[in-house]
Formats: sequence, structure tokens, C-alpha cells
Amino acid sequence: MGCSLAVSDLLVKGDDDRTLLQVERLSLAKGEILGLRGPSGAGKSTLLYTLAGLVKPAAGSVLWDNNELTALNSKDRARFRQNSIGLIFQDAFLFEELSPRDNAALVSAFAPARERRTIREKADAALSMLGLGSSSTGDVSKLSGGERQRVSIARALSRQPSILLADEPTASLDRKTADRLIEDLLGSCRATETTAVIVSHDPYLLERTDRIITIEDGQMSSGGEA
Amino acid sequence: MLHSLENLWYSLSPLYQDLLFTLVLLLPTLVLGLYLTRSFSLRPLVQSLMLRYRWTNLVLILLIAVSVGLGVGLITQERGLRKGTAQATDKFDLVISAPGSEITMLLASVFLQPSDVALLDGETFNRIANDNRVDLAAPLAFGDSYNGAPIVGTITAFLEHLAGPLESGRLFEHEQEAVVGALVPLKTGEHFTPAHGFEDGAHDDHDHGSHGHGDHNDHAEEDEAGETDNIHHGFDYEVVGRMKPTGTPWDQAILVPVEGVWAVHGLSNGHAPSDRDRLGPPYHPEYFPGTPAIIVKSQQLWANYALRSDFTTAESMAFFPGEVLTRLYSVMGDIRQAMSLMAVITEVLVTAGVLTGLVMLTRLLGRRFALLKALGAPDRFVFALVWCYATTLILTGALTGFGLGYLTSKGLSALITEHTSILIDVAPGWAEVHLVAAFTSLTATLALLPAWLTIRRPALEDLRQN
Repeated sequence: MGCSLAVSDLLVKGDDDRTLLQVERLSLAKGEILGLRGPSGAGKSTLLYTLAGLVKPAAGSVLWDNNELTALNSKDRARFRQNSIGLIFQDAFLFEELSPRDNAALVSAFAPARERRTIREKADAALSMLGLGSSSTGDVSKLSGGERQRVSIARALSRQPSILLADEPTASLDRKTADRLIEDLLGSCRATETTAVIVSHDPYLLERTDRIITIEDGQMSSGGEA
Repeated sequence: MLHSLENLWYSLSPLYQDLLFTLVLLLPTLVLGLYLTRSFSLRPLVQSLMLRYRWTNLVLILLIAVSVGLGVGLITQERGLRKGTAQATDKFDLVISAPGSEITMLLASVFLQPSDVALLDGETFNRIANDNRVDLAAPLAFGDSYNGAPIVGTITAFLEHLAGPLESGRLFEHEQEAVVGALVPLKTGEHFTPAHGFEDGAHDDHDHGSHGHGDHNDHAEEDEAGETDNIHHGFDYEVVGRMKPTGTPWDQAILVPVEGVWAVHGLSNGHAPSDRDRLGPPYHPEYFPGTPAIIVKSQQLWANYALRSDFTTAESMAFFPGEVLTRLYSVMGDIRQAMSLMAVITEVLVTAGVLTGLVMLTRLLGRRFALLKALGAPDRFVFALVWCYATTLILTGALTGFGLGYLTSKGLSALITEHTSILIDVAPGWAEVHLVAAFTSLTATLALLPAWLTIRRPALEDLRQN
């Protein structure tokens, strides 16, 4: 079951005190899938990473259910990410020396011991669901781009997150592979009612989300409210 | 409290003291390791980091191994040398010679190194031999050799004292009979012609040889026919026995009656013409050509001290080889300190190099650590991962260095033993275990620095790197 999101008066500044992102209001219902679009450098990824707690805003509020992310210290933000957020990047970011299975269950390395087995089982299940069950113990370097990205999705799903944040997950894939990945990703989110925010330039992906908002020059231009 | 701890420490056996000291040295690393890695599963990720830049990691491991190996090699070699040389003097309680350098005399009489030394006369020898406190007074006569093996003239009692019962054959009974050391490549029944000095020339049985007397290499001029002019023509020895191994230079020596050495040089043989065929003491002072050294043994320790005192005169010099060796060790100790300092400097430089390398490597691996942070890994996990990775490199290097140093030292010892016959026995000891433990602990503690620098890096910057 996903989380609801309420962002208000969010202000993110760069090292040079330049405003990178300003969001007056943004809200998401539980299980809603939001598409974020906009030109390069507009602030889409900054918003995504702020929602993940990787960027500390200068002001404003990011409320995931009852958790005010901006009030948490770095240790608690890490714990929140670990327990609630699945992250997918444009680059699959895999450990080349580990098997797809170990990559998918990477979170188990720092999860509490009692949860490790469950994480591994969920990672295995996610790999099977994404069609990688048979090659889960092979060599990661022999996987295609699409397969690598599916391993990274399995990694994001291994803790059954309530929030999925994806940064251009299909950008480096060919059309056919991207389409398959979109089906898998969105299908999984809908099946588990995971709240998702997906940054993308891919119109096919965006039109399949529940709502699309556009960000330009660090400002949200439309569609902030659910 | 402190006093009871001290008592407790001294009540422990040396083994437990060494074990405890090693544990204390490793304690910081063990405590750090247990604290940092608790509740994490780090092994697969550490393995992955080790494989990621495997050649760079290998270079770092080798750097550490060479620096640790230097220290370990130095310690084991020095200890082996001390032990070997001390063992070589075991059978030489007291040496009496003409006044001069004790070290030169030690090298000549115990280690059979060629030297020019003055001689003691027959009266002095008899005074020593006839002293009630003396059990054995053995004259030595050097100067000849055969195929590089020094020929030493002495008496049969000294042979028995030196190596016990023979391994094979019998003791010499005639002037031209010889007993060979355990490593001399001559068989019982073989004949050989002695040569003067310590030339390692082509001295075939009966054909060639060299001629000398208490000095070395100074008569090695060859004539046109290719023969040396220092051969003791017409004088052969027959090998009649072989000594047991002693682990000393005497294993490469050929022992003959001292009368033979005198006779081969055209000197009287120590006995009056009426007693011409006699071997061994007593000697007639008028017919005694002189001996460079007398090995003296008495059954009482105090007697050795009294003899040393009595025979330290204007005409003679008495010394304990063990004592002279101890003085040599103190010189060696200074050299060892200087070399140890160099080894420590090398280790410090290597540690600095390894830490710099680790900082650079952790930067190269920055995206991986950033990914882990993004996935929710706590800072302590990333810190522990970097530290474990660094400590694995350090520990692998230190253990490899331990083995490398030990094997190098063993090889070097084999070479020294081959050249000098001094048995250098190299075995791992606690001193080098302590060195490796101290190095590992110190470097592993310093490895907290790259770990700390890694968690301070903003994850987002590394994630956005291409």
C-alpha cells in the first residue's frame, strides 16, 4: 500500500544560493502514479531526490503520510529510504562483480538480520516477475541494457516499498525494451498500489501515468494538485 | 593494582605473554571491526570492491607486503645469524693466542677465516697443557687448503671434542692421515695434495696443489705450464675418517695432525728426533714450531675465568669467543637499529602511499557508495564497508609480507650457510608476529580516515557523475 504525499512551499537552493526548485504545492494520493516532465536542467531530478530525502531543502515541507522528511536527520532519512522508498536511476548502477540476484537483494546487506531472508525472497520474486528468474545467478556483465534495468527495478522492489521514485528509467533503452520495461514497472506499481513519481521524457511512459506535471526553470507549471 | 598486574604478567609463561601482547596489539583493530561490522553483511560487497580494481588492489597489497617483508626479513635474518654464530662458538670455551686482535683470532680459530697471526711457542703451550685446571689444550695450525677446504692441523682429542664420535672411519694415527668435515667432498681412502693458502684453484689429486703458511692468496702465481708454484709436492694426505655435521665452518674443513702441517712446511714436527713418529702432546719446546691458537677446555666454569686471567699476559692473550661475539653483536645491534629505522621509515612511507591510494580508490568507487546511501544504507554501513575493504587490503598485504620476509630470509640463510657452513636456522618468531600485528593495527586505525572522507562526500554529486 502506497503513501500519500503533500509538498508545500518547497525551496531548494544550490551551493551558490541560486534557486534550483520552487514548489508551492504538490500532492499525491496513495497508489497514484505521477509523471514528471520538462526540459533538461529544469529541476525534475532535484524534485525527485528531494522527495527521496537526498537533497535537503532550504525551506518547505515534504510530508509522506505522517513523516515530515525535512524534519528528519540524515540517519532517519536513510532509514526512511531503506524502509519506504524504492529508487530507480537512468543508469542501472549495478555491482558488476555480484550476480543479478545479489544486486537485486543489495539492500539486505544493511537491513536488519531478521529481514534479510524476506528481502532475498522478494528480490527473487521480483526477478522472476520481470523475466530474469533463470539468469539470476549468472554474470551481470552479460545482461543486456534492458535486463540490467530490470535488475535495478527488482532491487527497488525487493523491500516492497510504498513509494517508487524513478529517474528516466527508459532513457538508455531501445523502444522495444523500454515498452516492455514500462509495462513491468507500471504493472508492478498498480498491482501493489505503490505511489510512484517517474521522471521521463518518454511520451509513451508519461501517457500511461495517472497524472503528468511539467517543471520548467525550477517551477512547476501545471498539475500540482491531485 | 599496578603491582598485582605486574606480578600477574610475570607469572605468565613467555608463550602466554607473547600471545597476550599480540592480542593487545590487535585489540584496536578487533574492537573497531566488531563495532563497525555488527549487524551488517559486508563480505559480498568487500569481495566486489576487491575485484573491481583488482590490479590496483594487487599493487597496494604488494607495496604493503614488501615493506612488511623487509622488517620481517631483517628480524629473522639477524636472529638466525646470532643463533648460528653463537652455536659455532659452543665448543670453543677459551682461546689462547699470541697478543693481538681478539676479533681476528676469533675469525681465524672459530670461523676458519684466513688471517695473519703471530705464533705461541712450545713453552707457553706446555704451560697451558700441563695446567691442572685444563682438560683439553689443542693447538691449531692453519694455512693450507685443498679445493677451497681449509686444512687445520690439530690433535685427535679436539676432533672428539668438536664433533663427538666420527660418522665413519677412524681418527688419524699418522702424520699424513686426515679426517674430513661432514661437507668435504672427499671419500675415505682418497688421497689429496695440500696447497698453500686458500686458493680455490684446480688442485687435482696428486697433481696440483698450493703452498702456504698462515696467510692467504699470496703465492698463487701460475707458471707457464699452468701449475701453481705453491703446491706441497710430494706430500699426500689420505682420508681415514669423516666427522659428524656440526653446523659450523668446521664441516668444510679437513683436519690433520698438527705435526703434518708443520712437516709439510719443512719445520720440525714438535717432537725430538728420537720421538719423531709420535702424534699429539706432549711436545718438546725446542722442536715446537709454534701455534697461532690453542683451544682450551676445563671442566669448571670458574677455571676458565682463572685461566683467562692467568694467560692474559705480555706473551699471550686469552679470551672467551662467546664474549667477543657478544661485542660483535652489539655492533651488529647498532647496524640492526639503523636498518630497523630504515624499515620503519619505509613502512611509514608505504602506509602514507597506501592511504593516499585508498582515498583515490574510494573516490573512484564513489558512485557505488553513493548508490548504497541512496538505497538507504546508514553512514555506519558505508563507513564499515570502506574500512573493511581497506583493512582486507592491509591484512592481506601484511600476511603476504610476513611469508615473503620469512621465505626471503630462509633463502638468504641457505646462501650464507652454503658459503660459510654456519648453520643459519630461520624460524618464525614472536618479534615479527608483533611487528605485523602492530603494523596492521596502526594502518587499520589510519584507514578510518578514507572511510570518514567517504561518508562526508555528498551522495548526489557522485550519483550524478557519468
